[in-house]
Amino acid sequence: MRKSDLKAILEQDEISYESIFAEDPEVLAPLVRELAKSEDEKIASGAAYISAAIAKGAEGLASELVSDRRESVRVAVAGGLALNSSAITPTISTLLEDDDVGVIRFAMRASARILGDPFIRARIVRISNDQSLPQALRTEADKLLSNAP
Amino acid sequence: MSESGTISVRIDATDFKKEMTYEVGAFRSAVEDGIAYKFVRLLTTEMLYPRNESVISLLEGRSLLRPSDDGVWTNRFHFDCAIEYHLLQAGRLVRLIVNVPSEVEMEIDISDPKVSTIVFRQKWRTDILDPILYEGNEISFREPFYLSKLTSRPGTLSYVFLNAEETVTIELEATYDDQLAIETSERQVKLLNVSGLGAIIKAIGMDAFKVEGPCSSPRRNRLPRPPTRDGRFVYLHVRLVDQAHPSFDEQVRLTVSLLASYGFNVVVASQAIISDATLLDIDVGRCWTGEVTSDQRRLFSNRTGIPDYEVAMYFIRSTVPPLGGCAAFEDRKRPSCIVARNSARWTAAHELGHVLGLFHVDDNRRLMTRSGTANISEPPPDLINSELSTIQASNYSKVERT
Repeated sequence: MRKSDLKAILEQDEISYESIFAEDPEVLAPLVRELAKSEDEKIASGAAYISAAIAKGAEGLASELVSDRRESVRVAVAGGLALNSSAITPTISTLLEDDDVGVIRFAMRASARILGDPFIRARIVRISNDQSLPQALRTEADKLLSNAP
Repeated sequence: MSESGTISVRIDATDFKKEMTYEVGAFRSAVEDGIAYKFVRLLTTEMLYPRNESVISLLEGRSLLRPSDDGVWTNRFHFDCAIEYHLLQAGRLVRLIVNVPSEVEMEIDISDPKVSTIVFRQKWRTDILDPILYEGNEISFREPFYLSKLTSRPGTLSYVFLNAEETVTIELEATYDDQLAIETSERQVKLLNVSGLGAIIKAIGMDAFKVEGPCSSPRRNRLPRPPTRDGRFVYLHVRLVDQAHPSFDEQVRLTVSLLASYGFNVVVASQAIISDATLLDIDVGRCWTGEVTSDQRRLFSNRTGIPDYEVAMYFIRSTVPPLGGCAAFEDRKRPSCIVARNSARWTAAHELGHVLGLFHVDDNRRLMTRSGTANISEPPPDLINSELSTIQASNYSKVERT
């Protein structure tokens, strides 16, 4: 796969990420590294999602993208991390502190399997108790905590 | 002297501002500080209702050009008059006057007067307000036109106007006045050729304009136009979750006009804002028909007042995974689709197409292109006969509202 091939896929209205993930992550990694910085938010979001989801080759990129100014890119990173089986705690931890409710919501979902980490758990508890946050978010935090092992 | 050079147009359709750039070579610098000139622009548009008509309009205004020290001439251009539309309808001339709060900013960049290259940049809004109708007509404007291409070769200008219905090309032969190279009103312009479907104006009361070419010919490089399906309605309910969505109104308008051009009446039955930050970004899973996530289910529950079998279109910030849109819904009585902020201008129409039963195709000229509506090669995109039949057979298009 070349960069232009991946870009063409990311331009589609409905993208099959499953077919992208079938590619070799080490081939994808340099491509998404470049495309995630695109000014085109759609391309950047798609690339950010892939970079966060693939386990090999894109280490460090997701942690860079958590400071992207575009909320949709940060949401995409959080969404992608939920698929990532490698160590992601620092990145999720940063996203849980985001100012944007959408980013927090997807970071929370990505944190489901690392709730054993005391810091992450404490943050979810804080979200659950934070009256300034939307009720739907707090309810989701409650459910996450109650379902945790 | 005759001018030569190129005239190009860039259109920012997201906020209906147009920016036109004129690059005219071999211009003898006759523009002087404070020169007053008359600006006359020929516009063409079409009306969608009750049937297609082509219109030529004149914009008139006055302006003063004022140079600055750095050689950039800037100007604010104000039209203090209405646009007059003249159209030939059913054999008689109908005149419409549309009040337009037109304000044009013009910038003339003469970096080196000896080179005499002039760049005009004009911006104006294309809002067409409710027209004042004459002679009892009930025509109303639904769409602005899009000036998609403007080219010139020595002595000839070619205008291509695009709206959701058709492309209309007009070629003008122009003889320029050497003293007033930007004063188009002084030019002798002869209409050479008009192509495109629909009635084309034959005369607008100016002797300088005269139709000599054919008034109607099919647009080249387009798919054959299928017959329209009059009398079918699709009721669309717009729900705006992302209030910063930059193109929702344009997307809705394009959806309405595209389907209208095929005889389907898409009625925007309601529009409402959903203020819930937790619905800005929606997990759409695989975005498969009949398979929805808890996020989608929660979003689609915001359906108060929307009758069964009418389509809810939710404009959100983003989906996870990132898509332009998604038309997966679960309850067949409650058709729904999602359009993300990063979608293209035809994405809403594309998603509605899915809701109405259409599938992807491998043709970038068509609405349902698999490659993404951002890659539609010849807007407005096409729908073919079989797709129109599918829409007509859909549970979500009906003859009339029940």
